[in-house]
Amino acid sequence: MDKKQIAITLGVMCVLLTSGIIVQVNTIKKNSISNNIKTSNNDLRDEVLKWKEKYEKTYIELQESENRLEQVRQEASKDNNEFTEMEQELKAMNSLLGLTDLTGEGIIITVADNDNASIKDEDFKDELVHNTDIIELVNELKNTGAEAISINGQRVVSTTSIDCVGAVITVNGVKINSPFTISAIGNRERLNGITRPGSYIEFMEEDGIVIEVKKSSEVTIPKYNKVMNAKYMSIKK
Amino acid sequence: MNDKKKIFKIDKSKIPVSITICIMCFIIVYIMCIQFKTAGSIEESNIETMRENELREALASWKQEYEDVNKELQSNKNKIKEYQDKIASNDEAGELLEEEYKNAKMLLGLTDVQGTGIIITLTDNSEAKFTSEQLMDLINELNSAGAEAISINDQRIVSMTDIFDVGDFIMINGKRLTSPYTVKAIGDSTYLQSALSIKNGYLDKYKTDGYTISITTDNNVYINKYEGEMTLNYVK
Repeated sequence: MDKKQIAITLGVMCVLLTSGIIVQVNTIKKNSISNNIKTSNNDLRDEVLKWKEKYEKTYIELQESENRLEQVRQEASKDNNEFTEMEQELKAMNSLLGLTDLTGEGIIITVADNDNASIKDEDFKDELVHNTDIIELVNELKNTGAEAISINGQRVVSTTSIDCVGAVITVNGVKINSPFTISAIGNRERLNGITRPGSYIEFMEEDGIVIEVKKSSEVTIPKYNKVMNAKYMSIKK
Repeated sequence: MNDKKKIFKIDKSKIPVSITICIMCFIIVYIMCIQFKTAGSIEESNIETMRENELREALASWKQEYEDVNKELQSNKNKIKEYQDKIASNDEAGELLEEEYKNAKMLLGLTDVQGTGIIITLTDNSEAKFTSEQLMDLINELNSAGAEAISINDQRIVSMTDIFDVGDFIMINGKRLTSPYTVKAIGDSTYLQSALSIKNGYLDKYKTDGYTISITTDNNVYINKYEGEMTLNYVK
């Protein structure tokens, strides 16, 4: 290797390192701005983190207890045919409720805001995905026989609301962002009917929203990650 | 081939220097990687950048989530213990199993239920006719306000329910419905009512457009069960 080659190599490395350092310094600068706000509310912030951690820990425990409950339930009902049947039915109902992860054939719809959307456009609002668009799509999927639906990993259950909070869409109270991935399990050919001429999808595409629909032999839909219970309703007497 | 080899031939006296530079580069890159990671994780947790009122909101919401999850955990622990006791004493576990079974059936919408809630009546007039859009919007608003069970003209809204306009009718669960639409919801009646009546809320939005809507709260709302079938045929 002659000196020229060494010099070039070292030169290139120096440039890379320097640019890395510049990026670093910029990131840290940005962070220190938020640090100023941070110090004023430190106690509150610690409190939020504490409860979030507490929730996360308990949620993991809850998952474990659910598995354990299923085991003992099965164990306790295995000697009686009537109970075994009831136990099986209970399991099936929990799947219908959205309390288990599911896999099956279906379709995956990806809906995204138009990248070229600009506030200057007259139809700016039409080029973005709204909560009402997602509600319509979910409704159409149910019409074409969807058995389970999720939106960006949030399971759609009977009490799910799809809301608009400021400029953000929430599903089950969890914030989600574009691109929105709507997964559905069901007969994929029937579900694909959602793209028929005159459908809501066609209408959205005309507005400039970017949509992709993909049939799949294996769609996975996660379980509902909140607690489902009845505080106000009871079985009719 | 031989020419190429010659280019990369290294003068042996330079090897120590090269190795030193190499090691130094590795160390620097490694440190930078650690740095990047740290900076990344700081940006990730948005709790760091929240303002005071956002923090208070987040705190209340995490507390609530924790309480919900903890309550469910304790209830599961009790059930596990009860099942284990039955197994140990060779007793029948029928009672608890049936209770769990009934509860799941109720949550699915397969039993008639009752509870506090509200009843909303939507009536077509010459100026404004209700379509599936307003009904879907209403169901979403009610769910957002914590409704536990909803029905429209006695059609129970379950997870698989779809709503469509067909001619002059609105189809729900494959049944044709016409005005007036009686929407029943079970939940915290005060909260449900105020959620619909707030400024720019559901009532505001549609009443100004000329729609006829009335709301009453009720201590005992009865909601019918879902009459259709619920099965998972495409799940592996």
